[in-house]
Amino acid sequence: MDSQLKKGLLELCVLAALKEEDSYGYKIIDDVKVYIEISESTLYPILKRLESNKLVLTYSEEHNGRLRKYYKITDLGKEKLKDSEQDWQQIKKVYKFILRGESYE
Amino acid sequence: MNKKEFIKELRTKTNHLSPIEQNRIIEYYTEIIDDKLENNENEENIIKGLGTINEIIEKMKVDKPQNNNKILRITLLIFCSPILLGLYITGYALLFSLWITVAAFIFSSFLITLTLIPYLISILIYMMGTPFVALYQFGICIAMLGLAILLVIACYYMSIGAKKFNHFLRNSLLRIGKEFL
Repeated sequence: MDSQLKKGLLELCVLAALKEEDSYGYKIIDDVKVYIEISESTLYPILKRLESNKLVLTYSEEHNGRLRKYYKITDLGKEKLKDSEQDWQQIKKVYKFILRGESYE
Repeated sequence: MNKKEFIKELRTKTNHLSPIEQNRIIEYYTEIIDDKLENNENEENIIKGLGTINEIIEKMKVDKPQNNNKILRITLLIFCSPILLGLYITGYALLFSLWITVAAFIFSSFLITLTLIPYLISILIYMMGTPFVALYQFGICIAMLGLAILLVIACYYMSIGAKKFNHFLRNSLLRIGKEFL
């Protein structure tokens, strides 16, 4: 995928991964990579940015004798996900224009 | 490379960062490596999959410019704060006096109506004796009642204006908060 497009989507994907329940690094990557390519080193700055923009908050919990950092989506983050629906509607329109004349399978 | 060597090299190459930042990164990768190990992945493969430490550091750098921006904004906010504080105190004081005026108007209209109704009745009785004086006083009564009605109407518009002003103050305050915090 075009890297510019990807950048915007990844943040939303990470937020979406936290939509139903809190999650942690390894699991977030596992959930998201099904839909879009993401690596550990890409996820780190995304989580940092989400936290500094108050879209997620973090807490630690013990797991098998070590501390695991959990991420939780905030109300602001949920709002951002909801707002992205408008982007989706617009993207559909734009791609209809971009791909006009091509045959879709 | 194994986990120990990886973390060691990561620690060395992040020494230029603040201790908080450095620990955050190390904890992040340690946690992920441990999770993968728990998932029975091969240690060497895990480390290989993470990429080189240099790549990892590079990907983090993309975010730096944002930080400088924040420091500048917070400094600006600190310098502006006396003015902002003065403006907001004035704004809310104005709002408060607006509401007080509305309350005063409503109260006086209420009082006017309260005192005038019995007065009207006594005037009507008066009419039988001295019609012209009574008529004159009747006229004044009606005028006062009219004033009361006008005051109430003014209150209605004033309270709409007050609510809008309140919204304006709150929104601008929230926006400043969002920008800087």
